Amino acid sequence: MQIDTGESYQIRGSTMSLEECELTVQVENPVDFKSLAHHGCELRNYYQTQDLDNYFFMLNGPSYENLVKHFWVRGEVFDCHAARMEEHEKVLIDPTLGGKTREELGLKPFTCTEIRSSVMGIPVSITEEVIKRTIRRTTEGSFEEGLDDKTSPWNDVVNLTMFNSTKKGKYYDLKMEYKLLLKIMNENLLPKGGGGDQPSLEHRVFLHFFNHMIWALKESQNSNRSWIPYGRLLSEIFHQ
Amino acid sequence: MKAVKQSKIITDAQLGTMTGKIINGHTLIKMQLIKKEEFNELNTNLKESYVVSNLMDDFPPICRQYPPGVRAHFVYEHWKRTRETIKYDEIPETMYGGALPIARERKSKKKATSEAVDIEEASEPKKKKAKKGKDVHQEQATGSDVPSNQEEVQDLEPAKILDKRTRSGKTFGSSQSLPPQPSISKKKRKPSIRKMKVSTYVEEEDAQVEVATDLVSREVKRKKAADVAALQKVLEIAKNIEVPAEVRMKESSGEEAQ
Repeated sequence: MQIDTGESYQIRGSTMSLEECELTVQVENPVDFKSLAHHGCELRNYYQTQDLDNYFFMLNGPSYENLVKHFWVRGEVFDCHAARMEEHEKVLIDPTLGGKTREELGLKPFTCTEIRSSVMGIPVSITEEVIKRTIRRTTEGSFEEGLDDKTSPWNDVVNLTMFNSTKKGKYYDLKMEYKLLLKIMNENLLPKGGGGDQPSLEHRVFLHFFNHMIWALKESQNSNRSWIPYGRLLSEIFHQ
Repeated sequence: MKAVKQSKIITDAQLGTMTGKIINGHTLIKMQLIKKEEFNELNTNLKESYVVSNLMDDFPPICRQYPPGVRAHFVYEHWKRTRETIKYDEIPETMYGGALPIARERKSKKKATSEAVDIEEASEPKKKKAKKGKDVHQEQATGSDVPSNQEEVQDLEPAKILDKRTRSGKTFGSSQSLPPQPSISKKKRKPSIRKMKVSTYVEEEDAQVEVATDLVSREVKRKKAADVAALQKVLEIAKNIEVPAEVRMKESSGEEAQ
């Protein structure tokens, strides 16, 4: 059996204390907008304005649970900090290399944050660009992390939109549309895992696949979080 | 995934292929956002799709645990369909999930069938074989001297025969007096003579005995022949001797007195 991948094989060890069998892949749920609209819940416009049509179209396909677990266990976030650490390691091994660039150290140039892992020995790296190509959407947008429920200026806007009130409401106060939007958000866009219907402010404000993926991976490594988000999206990335 | 596709040995089960649940009108019912009566099933409803799941292009479900004949058959069928040959190295060692799924099915099926057979046997009593000779006699007993062809055909039908049977299992005909039947003599077996194996020294002994007995018998025969010849001579001599009439009379009177 010969596999011509164009890249050399890479044996990577596990980067977390969790075993593959302990992980749970959260597979996104495809949305039948026609059926929902027929029953009085028109949601397509919300996602059309965010240019997520293709993303929802992509969701209706197979997810490779075992491959995703295999990938996740070996995954590591390669950001600025990791890039610097890599350079330091090279210098520690050979002190004469001190003060040289990454290229001179024999390292690939650092362009952006990426998730590095391998699937069956084949190196895989996921970046914003990869996700953009997979969901056929531009990478434009903004993401606000670490919003405080009490002090954030977003609170008034969100509460007025969702609960038609300046005060924070509850789940049963939500309209049918918002309840379903929240479900889609929880299932597909920012998979939470572990239950709980109450959305956090981050959930209510914006979404960002890549950042959420990085956050989930770090959580798995540091806090043994067993939920793997975007099972379908990762499978599609492997496929493409 | 390209590499996996090229390898052609990994099944969907090994990849853990699955799809997510579709969010549609059913979800609204589950979330109690609409009532069941309000729900309408549409023709355009989205269905779960495995469109990209074409990793195993017509690869047959075989592994090396199968007997060579079965494997060869699978490979030949695959070649017939796709004109692609499967090399031995390309066949996985074991089927995903350990034991062969067919073997498991077979075991369970066997059990099921045996149980089913047992139940059937228990529910249905065993049917006795209909005897041809008896039926013929029944016909004669009921009175029809010469049965027509149609009647003969009816007699051959098992349903007709079964109808005639009573609950106790006896037939109507059997209760009436039947003409004496010619007794069929049973063949007796002929006793077959078995030849025993005789050892060589026994045969030699027998031969010696035979030779000895021959000599004795010859001697006896000679003696007998000599005796016979002597007797004849004595008789001839006795005939030639003349006996007087008075001696003969005395002898006869003495016999009578005795």
